[in-house]
Amino acid sequence: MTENQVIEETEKKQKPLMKKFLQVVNNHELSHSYLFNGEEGVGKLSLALFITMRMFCKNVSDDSMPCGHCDECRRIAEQQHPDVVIIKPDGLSIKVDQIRYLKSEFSKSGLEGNQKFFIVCDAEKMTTGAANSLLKFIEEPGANIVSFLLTTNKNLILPTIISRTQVVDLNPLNTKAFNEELANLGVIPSQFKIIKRLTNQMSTIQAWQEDEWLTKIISAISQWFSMLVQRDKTSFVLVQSNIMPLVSDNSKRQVVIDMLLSIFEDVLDAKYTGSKDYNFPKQAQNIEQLSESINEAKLIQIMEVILNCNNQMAVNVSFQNILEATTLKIMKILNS
Amino acid sequence: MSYQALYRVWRPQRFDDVIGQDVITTTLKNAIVTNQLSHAYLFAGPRGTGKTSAAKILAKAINCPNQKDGEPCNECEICESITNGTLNDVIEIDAASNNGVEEIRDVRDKAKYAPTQATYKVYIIDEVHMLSTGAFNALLKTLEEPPAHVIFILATTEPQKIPATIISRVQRFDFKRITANDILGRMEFILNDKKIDYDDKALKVIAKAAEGGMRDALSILDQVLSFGFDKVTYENALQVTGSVTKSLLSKYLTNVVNHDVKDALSDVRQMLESGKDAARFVEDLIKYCQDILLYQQSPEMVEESELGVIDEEFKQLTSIVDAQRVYRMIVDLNDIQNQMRYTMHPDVYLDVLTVKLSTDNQQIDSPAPAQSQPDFQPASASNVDNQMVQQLNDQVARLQKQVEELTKNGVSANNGGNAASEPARRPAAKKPSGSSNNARVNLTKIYPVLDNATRQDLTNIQNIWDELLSGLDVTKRALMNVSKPVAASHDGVVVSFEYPFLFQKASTDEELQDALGNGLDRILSYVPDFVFIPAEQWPEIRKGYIVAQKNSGKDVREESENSSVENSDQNDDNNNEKQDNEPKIVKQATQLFGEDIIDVKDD
Repeated sequence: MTENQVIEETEKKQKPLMKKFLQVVNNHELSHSYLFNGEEGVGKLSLALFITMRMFCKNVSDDSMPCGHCDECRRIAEQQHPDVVIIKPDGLSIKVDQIRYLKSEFSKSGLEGNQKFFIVCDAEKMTTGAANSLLKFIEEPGANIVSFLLTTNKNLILPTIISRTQVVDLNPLNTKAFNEELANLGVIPSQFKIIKRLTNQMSTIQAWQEDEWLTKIISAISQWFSMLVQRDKTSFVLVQSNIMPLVSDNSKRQVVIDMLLSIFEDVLDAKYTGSKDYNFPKQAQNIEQLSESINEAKLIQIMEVILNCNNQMAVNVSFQNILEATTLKIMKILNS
Repeated sequence: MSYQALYRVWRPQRFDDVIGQDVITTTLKNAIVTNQLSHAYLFAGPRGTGKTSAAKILAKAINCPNQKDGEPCNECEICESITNGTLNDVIEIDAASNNGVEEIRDVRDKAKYAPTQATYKVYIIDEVHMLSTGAFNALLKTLEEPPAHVIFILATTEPQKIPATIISRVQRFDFKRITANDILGRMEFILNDKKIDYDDKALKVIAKAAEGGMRDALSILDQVLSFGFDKVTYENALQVTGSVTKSLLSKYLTNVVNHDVKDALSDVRQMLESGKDAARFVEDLIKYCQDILLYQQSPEMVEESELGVIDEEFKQLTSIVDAQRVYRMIVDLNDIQNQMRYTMHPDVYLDVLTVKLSTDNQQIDSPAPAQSQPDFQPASASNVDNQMVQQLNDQVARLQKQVEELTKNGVSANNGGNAASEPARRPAAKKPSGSSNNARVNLTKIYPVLDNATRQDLTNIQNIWDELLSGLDVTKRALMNVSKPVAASHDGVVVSFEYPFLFQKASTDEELQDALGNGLDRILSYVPDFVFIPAEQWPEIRKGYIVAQKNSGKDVREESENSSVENSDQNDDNNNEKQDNEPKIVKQATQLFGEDIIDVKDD
C-alpha cells in the first residue's frame, strides 16, 4: 500500500471511526491497546496504519490529518518503519517466538522518536502460548507504546486479552459505495448481494473476477440447488462434476460453504419475510418453490447440516466428502 | 506523560480499595497484623478481579516500615518503588513468556540471596498456569520450604491447570467475580472524582457487560469516555458494548413467544445491521430468560440483580410465557452460543435460532409436522392455560387420527419413505404373500432350498461371504453389501437384502448372479442356486414354510431333522421331534438361544 492508499482506504471504508480516532488523538486520550474486530476487508489494517501515521507524521495538516508525504508516513505505509512493528501469522499461527521478539523489540526505546507502535494482524491466530505471553505486556507496556490487535473473530481471543484492550467493532462496508466499486470491477449487478455476503476484500473479489470463477461457481451451485429442489439425485453427481473442479484452494472451500448457506437463507427469507431481494436472484423461482413445499423444521435441519460443514472442515475431512455427504443429507431431509 | 488507561490509573493501592473481595483482604490483613504470613500464596479467579493488584499490595504491606493495620502507607520509598515496579526485591515474573525450567532454576538460585532493601523478597508469578510441567516440578521443592525471607505469590485465571502438588504447598485464595453493584459503585466513584457527567443507565449497561471483571468495566468506560466527548451516555454505552436495549429484547422475545417468525426475524436483521454483536445478543437473551424464570419465582431477586430497572414489557412477558418453554429456549440458546464461537457468520446462526425458538411448540408437539401448521400459528398469548389445553386437545386429536390411519393402511413408515423415492417401479409389484412389498419372491425356489437346508452349509457360506463379496467389482459389491445369507443347502442359498430396493435390483441383475456363481465356484468349487428375498419378508416366509411342513405331515418332519434355518434370533426350527419330550423351559431356551449353543443336562 502506498501512503495515499492508506488514507484513502480508511476514509472510504471507516470514516466515522477515523474521525473518532482523530478526536481521541487530539484529546491525547489514545489508549495503549486496541482490539479491532471486523470482517475481512473492512479496513482494519489501514485504520491502524492511519492512526500510526497520524501519530508519527511531521506535518499534520490543519484538520489533523497526516500529510501522507513525509518520510515517516511513507515508511509506515510501506510497513518499513523501524518503530512500527507489524506481526503477521507465520504459517497458520502466530507463535511465541514472534511475541518474544516483539517484547524484546519494545524493551528498547524508539529508534528515531520516543514512541513505538505495534500491530498484530489476525490476532485470533495466536497460539495459546503467544496469547498468554502477550498478556502481561499489553497490560502495562512502557510509556508511549501503543498496540493494535486486528481480528476477524473476537470470540476466539482470550478473554483476559480482551479485558486489557479497548474493543472497537468495525462495521461492514456501506452497501452503496461497495456496489459502486463492484461495478467498477465489472461485476454484474445480480451478483452484488452474494459478493457482499462473502467478502469485503476488493483484492479477493478482483481475483475471483479474473477467470470468471465467481460466475462459474454461482452457476454450478445454482444448478446443484435446482436439482435438489426437484429432488433429483443427480445433484450428488454435480458435486464432483461441476463444483469440485472449481474449488482449487482452501480459501474457496469456505466460500462454497457460505454460498450454500446463503441460498438456503434465501429460502428462509422467502418463507418468512417475503422479501424478493435474494442472494441468488436467478434462482428466485426454485427458491420460492422450495419455500412453499418445505416446513420450518426441515429447513432448520438443512441449515444445521450445512453449518456443521465448518466443523468438519476444521478437522480436515476431505472437502468433496463433506459436500457429497451434505447433499445426501439434504436429500434425505427433503424426502423424509 | 502519555494517556494512561483508567484501569492502570485506578489500580487499587490498598487492601481497602480492592472491591468485592472482603473475605480475602481481611484474611490477608489479619495475617500481616498477627505475623502469620505463609511463605506461598495462590491467587486464583476470573480476569479483572484483583489478583495481581492484591499481590502487589501484599508485597507492599509486608515490606512497608509504616504498615498500619495491615495496610501499606503508599508514601514511603519502598511502597513507591514497588508501585513503580522498580524495587529489586519484589520480582514480578510473567510465567507465560518465562515458562521453561531454565527460568525457574534462575528463580530458585537467586531466592537464596537475602533481600537488598526490603524485609522480604517477594516473587509474584503471574499467569502461572502457563508454566511447563518441568518448570512446575522444578519449583516444587523451593515452594515447599523457601528461605525465611522469601514469599511466593502465584496468580492465575485457570487454577485447574495447576498441579495438585503445587496447590497443596500454597495457601489458596479464590477471587470471586465482582457483583454488578460493586462495579457500579466503583465507576461512580471514579467518575465523580474526575468530575465527569454520567448517565445512570449507561453505567448499569457497562457494569453488566463487564461480567464481573473490574478491568473490563474500566476498559469499556474508558472507551465510552474517549468516544463520547468525555460524557457517559446510554447510547454510547450500548454502542461500545454492542448490547441491545431492554425494549428490543422484550420485543424480540414477545414475537418469539407469539410464534411471529417474520417479525422476530426482522428484529434480528435490524439489530445486526445496526452493528450489534451477535454473541452479546445471545448472552443478553440468556440473561433475560433467566430473569423471566427468576421473576416467576421471586420478583425481588430480579429487582435486585437488575439494579432496580424492570419495565412493563418484561412483566407482561413473564406472565404469558410458561417455564417449560423458557427452559427449552435456554437450551437452544446455549447450543447456539457454543457453535457461534467458531463462525464468521453469526447472522445465519441467529436466523436459525430465531426460527427454531419461534416454532418451538410445533416441533415438540408434532412428529409429523406437515399436518400441524395451521393449528398453531395464531396463539394469542393472553391466556396460557387455555392455550395449553387447546394445544393438548389438538395433539390428542392428531394422534388419534394417526393411529386410525395406521390401522387402516398397515403401512410402516419405512415403506412410505422408500416408496416416495421409487414411485415408478413400485406399483407394478404383485403381492403374492399378502405383504406390501413383494416384488418377485419366488417361493417355489425357496422351499426346496429350505427343505434341504443344513446348518453346516449355512456356516460355510457365511464364512466365505466376505471373501465372495470382495471378489466382486465395486458396483456389485455396493449392491450386495447389505445382504446376508440366511439359509443354505448344498444346491441353493437364500440371500436376504436389507432394503427392498436393492433386492429388486439384485433379482433382475443376471450379471450379478453370474458373478456370484463364479465366485462361489472359485472358492467352494460348487455352484448353488441363488434365491434373493427382502429381509423384512424373511420371518414371514419362514413361518409359511413351517406351517406348510406341518400340513404336509410326518415325512417333512423327518426331513427337517437335519435341515437348518436361521432367523434373526439365531433360532433353529429343526427340533420339532425333540420338542415333544422336552420340558417346557428347555423348549423356550432352545427357541431363544438356538440349539447350537444349548447343552441340556439332566441331573
